[in-house]
Amino acid sequence: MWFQQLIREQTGCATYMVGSSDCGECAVFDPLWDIEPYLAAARSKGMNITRVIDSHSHADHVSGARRLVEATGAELFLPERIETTYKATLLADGVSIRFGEVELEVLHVPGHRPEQINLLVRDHSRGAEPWCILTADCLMVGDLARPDLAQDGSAGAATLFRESLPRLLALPDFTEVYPGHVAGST
Amino acid sequence: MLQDQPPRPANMANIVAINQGHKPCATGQPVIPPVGLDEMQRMILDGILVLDTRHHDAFGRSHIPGAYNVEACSGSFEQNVGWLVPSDDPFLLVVDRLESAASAVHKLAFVGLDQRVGGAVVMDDWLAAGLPGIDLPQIDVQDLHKEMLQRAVGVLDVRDNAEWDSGHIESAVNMNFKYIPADLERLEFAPEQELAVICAGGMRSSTACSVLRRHGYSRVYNVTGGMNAWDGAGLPVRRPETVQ
Repeated sequence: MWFQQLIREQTGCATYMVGSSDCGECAVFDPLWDIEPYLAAARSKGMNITRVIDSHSHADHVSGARRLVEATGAELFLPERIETTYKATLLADGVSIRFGEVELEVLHVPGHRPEQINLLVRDHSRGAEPWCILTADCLMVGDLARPDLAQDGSAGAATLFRESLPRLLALPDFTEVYPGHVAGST
Repeated sequence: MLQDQPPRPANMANIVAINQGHKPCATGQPVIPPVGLDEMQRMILDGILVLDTRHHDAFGRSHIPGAYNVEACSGSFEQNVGWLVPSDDPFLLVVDRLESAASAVHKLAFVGLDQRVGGAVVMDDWLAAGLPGIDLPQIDVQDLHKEMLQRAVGVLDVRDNAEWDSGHIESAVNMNFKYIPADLERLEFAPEQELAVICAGGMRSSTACSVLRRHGYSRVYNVTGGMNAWDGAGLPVRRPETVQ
């Protein structure tokens, strides 16, 4: 399995590519508007971008998902609860996207936005335990996401603390955590 | 905890609308409408906002009257534009050279603001055509300190909360530069009052000065070198340990 984090330093946005060495396909998670870095990374690894996934309706940057789908012919995946006019395969909690040895399991983790999903990444060439989790705008470095942007703050915070955070805390200790924002984000 | 959250970013609704498909997203590389100087003058007379993306020193020397100074080389350029230009209105860009316009629009596309660019002009071309440029008065920290000892000069510190809390000028008032357009009525200075505006180094204060001038504050001064220079010169700073 090939895994790469791509950070846009100016805004601290962290996006991810997960590829299968077995089948040469890769997925892009939460791409930014400028899709060149993803196309270049896939080219350099000899991978085809076949799946593009957005974790939620981003409010701080324009998603590059639709552009990437247009450029590559990849399938667009969006969270089940998302409000959108785009045609996409909707992802419910517990569903897995599988290609080659790679498995991306969907966790619905509301709180930041009601539709927010995370991806639990498994490399089955290594084992059935998760390798890492892509926490998008749910769990950050030493912090949780803002609950007050898309909804009432108290309700969002309650959902985050009661429903979503316990699911992340229940993951095995060795699960690596990769957030959607790092230092410098707004 | 929720009370400590900063305001919602002004451009947020616009970005969500693009991401949900309610507003168009730029598909190819953004294109800047080719607008001549005559038409640009007409647009400015009609009230279009001008964003001067050059360095604050260059802006201080000469800029189009009414322009906001938002430096494109700042890492937060596109976010800053999003904070300062919250409506759906278009705006013009002023650049130091033509290539800078393409780079600025590329950055704006990350937050969906590329589609609002109504045109771009190189400042030297504007001035060479005999069109008006005005300066933004600058004051260095030593002169500001002397002035403050002699008379009532308001000091507006436009840094963020954490910077302010780490130490500030005793008599200063704090308002983050990003919030000035939305919070102008809460500013406790009258438009006719003399006002020195300070940040850490002079960039954000230049932005704040330009916003205040467009809103009728006619006697604003940008403090060159900012709090870094003030502190470096050993001038008095109210620090956390001295705060009761």
